[in-house]
Amino acid sequence: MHNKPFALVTERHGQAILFATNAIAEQEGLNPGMKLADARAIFPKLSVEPTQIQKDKAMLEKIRIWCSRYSPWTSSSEIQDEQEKEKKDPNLMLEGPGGGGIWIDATGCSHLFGGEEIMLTDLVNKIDQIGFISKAAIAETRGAAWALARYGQNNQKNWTIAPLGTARETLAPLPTAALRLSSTTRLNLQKVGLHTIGDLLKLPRATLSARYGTALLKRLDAAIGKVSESISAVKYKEPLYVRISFSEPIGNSEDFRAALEKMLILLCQKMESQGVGARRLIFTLYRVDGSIERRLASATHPIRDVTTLKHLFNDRINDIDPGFGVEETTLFAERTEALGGIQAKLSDSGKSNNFTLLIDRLTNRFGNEKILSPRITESHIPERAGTLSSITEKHRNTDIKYKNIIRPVRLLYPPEEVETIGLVSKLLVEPPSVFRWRKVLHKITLSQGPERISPEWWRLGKTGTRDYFQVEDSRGQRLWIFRETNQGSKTTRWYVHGLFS
Amino acid sequence: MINNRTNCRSAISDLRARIGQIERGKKSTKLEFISPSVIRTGITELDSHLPDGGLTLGALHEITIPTPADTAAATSFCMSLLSSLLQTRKGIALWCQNSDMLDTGEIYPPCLIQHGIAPDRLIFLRLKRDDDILWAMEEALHSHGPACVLGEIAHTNLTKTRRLQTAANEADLPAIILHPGWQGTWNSAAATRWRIKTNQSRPYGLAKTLNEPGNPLWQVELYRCRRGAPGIWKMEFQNEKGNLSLAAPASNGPDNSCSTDIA
Repeated sequence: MHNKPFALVTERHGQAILFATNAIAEQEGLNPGMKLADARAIFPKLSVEPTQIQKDKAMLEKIRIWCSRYSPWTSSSEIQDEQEKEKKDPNLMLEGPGGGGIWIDATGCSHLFGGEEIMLTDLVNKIDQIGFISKAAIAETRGAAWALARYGQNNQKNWTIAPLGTARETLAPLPTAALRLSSTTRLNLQKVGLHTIGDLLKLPRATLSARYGTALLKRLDAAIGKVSESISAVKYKEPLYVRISFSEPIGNSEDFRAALEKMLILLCQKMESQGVGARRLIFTLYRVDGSIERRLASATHPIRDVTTLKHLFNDRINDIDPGFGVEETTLFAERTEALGGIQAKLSDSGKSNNFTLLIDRLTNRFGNEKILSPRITESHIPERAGTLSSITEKHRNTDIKYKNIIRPVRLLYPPEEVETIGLVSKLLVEPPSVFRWRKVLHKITLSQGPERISPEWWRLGKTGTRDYFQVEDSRGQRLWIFRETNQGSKTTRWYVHGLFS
Repeated sequence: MINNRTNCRSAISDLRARIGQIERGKKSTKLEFISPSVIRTGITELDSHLPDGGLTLGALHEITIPTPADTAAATSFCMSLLSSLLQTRKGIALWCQNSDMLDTGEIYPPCLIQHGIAPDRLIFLRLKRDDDILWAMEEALHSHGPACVLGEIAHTNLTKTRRLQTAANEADLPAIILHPGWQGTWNSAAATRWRIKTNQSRPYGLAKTLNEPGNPLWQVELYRCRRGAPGIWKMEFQNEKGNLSLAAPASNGPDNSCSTDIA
């Protein structure tokens, strides 16, 4: 496929057009955006395949995740690009030579690899090994890197580096398309003979914006570094990110644990210098074949203790499938919170800490929706008055004294309707004498009630007025039953709502 | 004579403590005569019947619910035990619920207050599988975090209960299993095994005249007790005070039980 002209075809306004072409096809003069009929006229033997944009996107996303081995901040270009989002035709999202791209904010990361050149060579080589041809560029702005990677004069290794402060000069010879402009703007510029970025830079700014809108100037400024356009606009902090690569791929869980511990020690030092503790950690393993494996651990409070953090991962290391071996691991503190001073070992400082650690371990294993704490709310409606809800929800239990009323030990959610047997007294103060609940007959011997609970008028709901009775059957089972009267339908139903001790 | 008897008693209790330590596998060169810490139920008759003078802390206790109708009674009994424990000891209790057993209703938080348990001293963990619950219980005991660990379990076996018993013993924390007896039973390594059955209540006074239910009345059966004898009691849960008490014998008649309560 590499040695004969090939193109992917998509459809626009009922016409088949070329979506992407390979290098040989480009040499023949075939370009993306061209009608298939025109292309066939130029080169009749062109082989084509339909475009599968979703799969392309998924692949690009996979590569993006894989790229996080170089820096924690990565994004794929089509997601970030506002201009392309506005485009009506989603099939043309991947645009320009080489299709989609990935941005890596490599600020402060290249020294981990021994310099920008080595990092780029490594990146291009590794992607080549996976089976893709890539071009890479490092520049001081996002726009310049984008332009250089696509239109720049690459060296044999397929990468370019624009040294700091040279964006203006390096970009000048590039075509205007390198500015991430919409196709109409590009066409309009071509019509008046503005072909390169250099041409644009020579013109007075006022006329440019008057004719082509502010978007063009914005892109131009962003590319040459007059306006900053960064992936994350926050003040630079050393990323809480550690990586280890192995000369020999590792493959057993003991090694993973050792790697994790080594990285945790480094990460905890970094966190200490920034005065933070980790709330969520992402442990990523890069296999030799380019696939990755992730393990997440989260804590209910910031932690900076190596042993404690290691415990969070305890049960999640064993099931890692090493595949053909793991060549690299990274650890990233995705969420952090302020944690002052040197953290004393949590295990030394008493029982309550042991408990929070236990809750963390349980949360990591079962999920925090499984851990519930009793909530008591001021409400007349029994279901609302007491609930069990996740401990992550903040709630202050209202201090209610249940002095004279007795509430059941267990409550049914929702109440279960019962079948009343025989004649039910018309008197409102009496419960049925016999009813069937869950296929068992309950013969009422003692009863107390009614306790009338009206629906809260400010809550519109289906519930009617309820009259609750505490009843005891002939076997000594005590139940909380109620009669619900709906004023509209005038029907009366009986329900079991709770079980008394 | 009196002296002799007290000597005899203390000798017996010393021996009991020794045997207890050997049984619990505490290896020390010198056996110390410290009776293990216990949960006192607050019912003198029950506490004195139990070998350590209450439910041993570092041990597994099992509470069986014989029929679905007894669920609430057994739950309430568990809460009473928890309440007496939490009143004397610090910490939070962990209650592992079995989501398959929720068809008998969910624990209703207001009743915790009636049992004298502050809602923020209890955390629930809701899991599906018995093995997960057992894992969580064991993990909780090993962590020394909670004041008590309670689990609702449908099926387990001797080996698993033995693990729990060992973990409870090492942590010196109580572990309680609440299980529906109609779903099966097993041989267990638990120190005590209970069966709670609900009985018809005996209203008195105004409640009797109005035909209203009285205080919950249960038959509490200790059907297995390591180092002790089984026993059976009728107990009443005092709705007003929120604690357990021994019910007066039925033969005395309901009116007498009224006077016992006042006393």
